[in-house]
Amino acid sequence: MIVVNYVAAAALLSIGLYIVLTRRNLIKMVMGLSIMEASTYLLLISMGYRSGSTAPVLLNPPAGKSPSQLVNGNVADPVLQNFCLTAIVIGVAVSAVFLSVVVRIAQHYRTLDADEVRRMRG
Amino acid sequence: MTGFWVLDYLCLAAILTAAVLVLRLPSLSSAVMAVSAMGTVLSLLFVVLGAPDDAHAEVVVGAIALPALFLIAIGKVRTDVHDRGDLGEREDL
Repeated sequence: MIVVNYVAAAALLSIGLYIVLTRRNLIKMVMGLSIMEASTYLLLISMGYRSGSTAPVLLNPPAGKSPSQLVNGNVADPVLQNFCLTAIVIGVAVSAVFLSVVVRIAQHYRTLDADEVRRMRG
Repeated sequence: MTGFWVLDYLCLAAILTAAVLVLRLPSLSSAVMAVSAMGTVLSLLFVVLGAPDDAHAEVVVGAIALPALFLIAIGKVRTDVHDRGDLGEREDL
């Protein structure tokens, strides 16, 4: 329970959403989406952290301990870290797809302003 | 334990500062550098929070690959592409 990290993740999500909603530059919008993804990574890793824990890297059991006792050790949660790893890989692919769409729009409409793109007015 | 909290607060302050810089900077290239700084400090915070493998992936993706993608995209939209008909442009859109 690191409350300050949760608050920081919420603030990052808010900043990214504000960038997406208020900026007219399409590349700046993709940057806002990247900031929102970064807030997700921060939230997952902060939820996996326990107080005073170390990395879940295990060479061999400590002296006088059997492997079945290692569940009582103080390590961070590896499951949420693997969720975060998957989210990082998916996030960079999604950003690449968004950027390729933005490049295509810029070549087609000769502008990066979202207000100038008539097809995006809904 | 207090050293952990000092590192935690410093990294969070740097991350939020970089995000506000992305919001406030007028130049696109400067905003890309702010995104790169945010990814770097986020990977450092992952090391502090006990996730070195995620820090590895994040320092490759957030500090190098994603800013490179942004810079390539900015370079491509600033390039004047001569349409030889293969883009399939229509004049009435």
